[in-house]
Amino acid sequence: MPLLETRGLCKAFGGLRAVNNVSLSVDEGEILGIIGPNGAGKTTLFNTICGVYRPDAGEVLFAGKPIHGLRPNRVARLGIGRTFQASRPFRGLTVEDNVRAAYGVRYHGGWRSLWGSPRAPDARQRAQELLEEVGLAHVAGMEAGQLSLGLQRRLEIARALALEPRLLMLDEPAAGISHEEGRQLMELVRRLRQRGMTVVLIEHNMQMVMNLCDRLVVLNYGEVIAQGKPAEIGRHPAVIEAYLGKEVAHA
Amino acid sequence: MGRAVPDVVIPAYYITMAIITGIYIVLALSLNIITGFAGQPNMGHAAFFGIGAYTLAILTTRYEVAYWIAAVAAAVAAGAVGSLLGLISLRVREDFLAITTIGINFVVVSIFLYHPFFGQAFGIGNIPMPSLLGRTLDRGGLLVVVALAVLLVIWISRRVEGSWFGLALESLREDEQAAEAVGIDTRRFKVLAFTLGTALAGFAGALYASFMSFISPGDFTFPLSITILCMAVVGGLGTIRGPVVGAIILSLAPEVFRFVLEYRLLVYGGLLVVMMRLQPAGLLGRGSFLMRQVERWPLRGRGPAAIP
Amino acid sequence: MLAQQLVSGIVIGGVYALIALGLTLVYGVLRILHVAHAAVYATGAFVGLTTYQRTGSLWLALLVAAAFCGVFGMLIHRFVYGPILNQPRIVPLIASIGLFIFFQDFLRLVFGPYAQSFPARVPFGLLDLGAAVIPGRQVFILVVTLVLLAVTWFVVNRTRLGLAWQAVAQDAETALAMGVPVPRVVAVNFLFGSALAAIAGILVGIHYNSVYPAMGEVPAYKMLAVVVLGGLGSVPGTVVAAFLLGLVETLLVGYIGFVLPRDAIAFVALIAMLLVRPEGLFGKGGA
Repeated sequence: MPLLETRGLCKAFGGLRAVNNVSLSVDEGEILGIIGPNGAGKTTLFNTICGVYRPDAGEVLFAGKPIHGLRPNRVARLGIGRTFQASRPFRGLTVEDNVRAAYGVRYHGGWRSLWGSPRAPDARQRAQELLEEVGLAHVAGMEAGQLSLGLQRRLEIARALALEPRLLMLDEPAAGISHEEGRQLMELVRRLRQRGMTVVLIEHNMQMVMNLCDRLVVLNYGEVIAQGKPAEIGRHPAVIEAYLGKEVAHA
Repeated sequence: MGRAVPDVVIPAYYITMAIITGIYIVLALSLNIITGFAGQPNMGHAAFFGIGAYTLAILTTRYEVAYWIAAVAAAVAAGAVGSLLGLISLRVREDFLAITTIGINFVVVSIFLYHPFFGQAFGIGNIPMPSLLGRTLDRGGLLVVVALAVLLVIWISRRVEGSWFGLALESLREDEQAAEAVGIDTRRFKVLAFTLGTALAGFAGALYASFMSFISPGDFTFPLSITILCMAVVGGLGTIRGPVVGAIILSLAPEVFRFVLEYRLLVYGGLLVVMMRLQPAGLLGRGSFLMRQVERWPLRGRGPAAIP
Repeated sequence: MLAQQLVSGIVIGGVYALIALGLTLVYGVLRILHVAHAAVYATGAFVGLTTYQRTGSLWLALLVAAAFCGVFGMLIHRFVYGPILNQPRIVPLIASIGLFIFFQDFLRLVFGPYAQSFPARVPFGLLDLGAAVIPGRQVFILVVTLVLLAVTWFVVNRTRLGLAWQAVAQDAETALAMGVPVPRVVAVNFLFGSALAAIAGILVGIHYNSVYPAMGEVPAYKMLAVVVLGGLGSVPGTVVAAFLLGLVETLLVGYIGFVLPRDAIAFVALIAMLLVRPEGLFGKGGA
């Protein structure tokens, strides 16, 4: 059974079909890449899977159970962590607090969360571990808004990891960061996968996509135009057409 | 009451000022939970102060309910309406929410003003003082109660600030969508913040009603909401020391500088503008000029060591 | 009787529209609630009154007040809002409220707290429509209002400035990238909206024959309700909501004798609207 599956997923805004009949699946332990030209609907797809949008039609199944229509915080707690295209840490909080906020989720019961402190030793230790994992332990006390973009992205990943997710959904994690940071990012994702994490990745950085992903799904105008291994996709005429235009594809 | 205590004669004036200041501190801190920690604009906080006051007034004068039960009922009533506001805040974004709170202030006061049940423009009088162990307190006794209330609200605020609850509130204040993405049920926490903040304001209202012994709708209008907001903001929204200091400054200033009384609104307004332009974090907010000076000293500072 | 009420409602609705337009224009480009707009409105009334007292000319009063407040509005943007736009939203909001409180008290100190009369001689006489008899003052207000609304419509929809405003309102970054002089558009925005508010202040002063420092108090928040009801940032929405509110207020109070105070109607409607359709009548993209 695939860990994540969408069946005929549709989401429209006004007259625009941002996601049109998208069916894909991700197996446990896989790294799936979602690529496509700008505006192809990739982030909308993420948002629909994670509960930010309610799909107009279709289903999303996580470990066999339907999750479409659930609120994002429910989806997160079920085991899906995500990052955002525009880096969105909690700017006014420290790096440590960013991670602890996510970790505190197990105390989500409202009034119950008044007892128990993020400053307690076990919570601090867990946060420390997560920060070390992504290489941010040295800036734990810094205000998140002060970090460089590359570090902010790592912080978002650490935050997503705090939930102990089974699936990690990364939206353009390599956007705007340096080559070296991109390399470190790839290392991090590989390490995570080695420990059993499943990853779905939206990326434009082709080198990262080709080297990291086991499989690719190509979107254009909200529809899946191709699926398969990176090597095959690179030769697929529809894909080339989507990126470079008709003339080049049929040249 | 007071016989067990040495007969120190404190001028009634100081007791009055202390009670007023104490009530303002409670109000500012209660607003701080909603607008400071959770970041939800609330420009109608005086309405909940009023709901608490009227609840206590009506229960004690008309139905002869025991004081402390009525006081708790005041907090509950205010919190109940506050939770409704919290539910409204789920549908309604920042700016819209701010306007809605103004509207709620206005509607609540209008109800007090027009409905016979609330005494209309005549208000409600003969409100009793709290009683303890069978004896009715005098002003000095009320001051002790208010002081205890201040300590209680400070304790609650610190509890919130240092807990997962507080961290969840701050997360949803910083970025609601991101907070959702890490599993925080932003809806539930928003409503809880409103409920708690307004309930505390309602409790302050009960104490106020006793203090004044007579309340009328005009006591709870929009200008008061702005005053409370001003106190929290000038002091430093989102901190605990901020609203406390802001409340103290702004309730004592007109007394200390008598001439300010005549120009009180001019000063309030100007102060708000200047603060927002120069120091939006508040006098004692994080990273403010004053706090940076404090952190420079060899005392232990709080928060990130931001030495520019 | 009903016709009379209808006319009254339209007159007051028109004035609401003039005031609320300034708010919508500012919200459209800056996404802030310009509560201080009500202070501009009250200032306009006083400037107009003073000009009229000195010169005896109503037209001059309108002109001077419009010009004065137009500049006043621009200065508010330049020195208060402009520098703090990148702060969290509550900051400009509180600054705006602070400005409002400050200038309202300033007016009180300069002109005294009591109401002054504005016995303007309007260039219109009684208008007898049979079903309704409209006093000259109301005719004057109606004419000025309708002309100004028409001018506004024209500017917003048919001039380059108006199109620039719409572009900035939709997407300021893109507009800037496409060469729209955003700071200038915003400044003119304030100029125009503030001028309208000033004129509205004079019209209200004439209508009730009373100008007083606190006259901006109720409009300060009532106009916010209008703007939200119509859909934040929507010019037609604001105008429609303003007229609707004017009519409903007049009819409910004058005709039926309502239980809640007249001013509460706006807010009850606001709360209801926000629960049912948060984006307002004509709004796009709500809560």
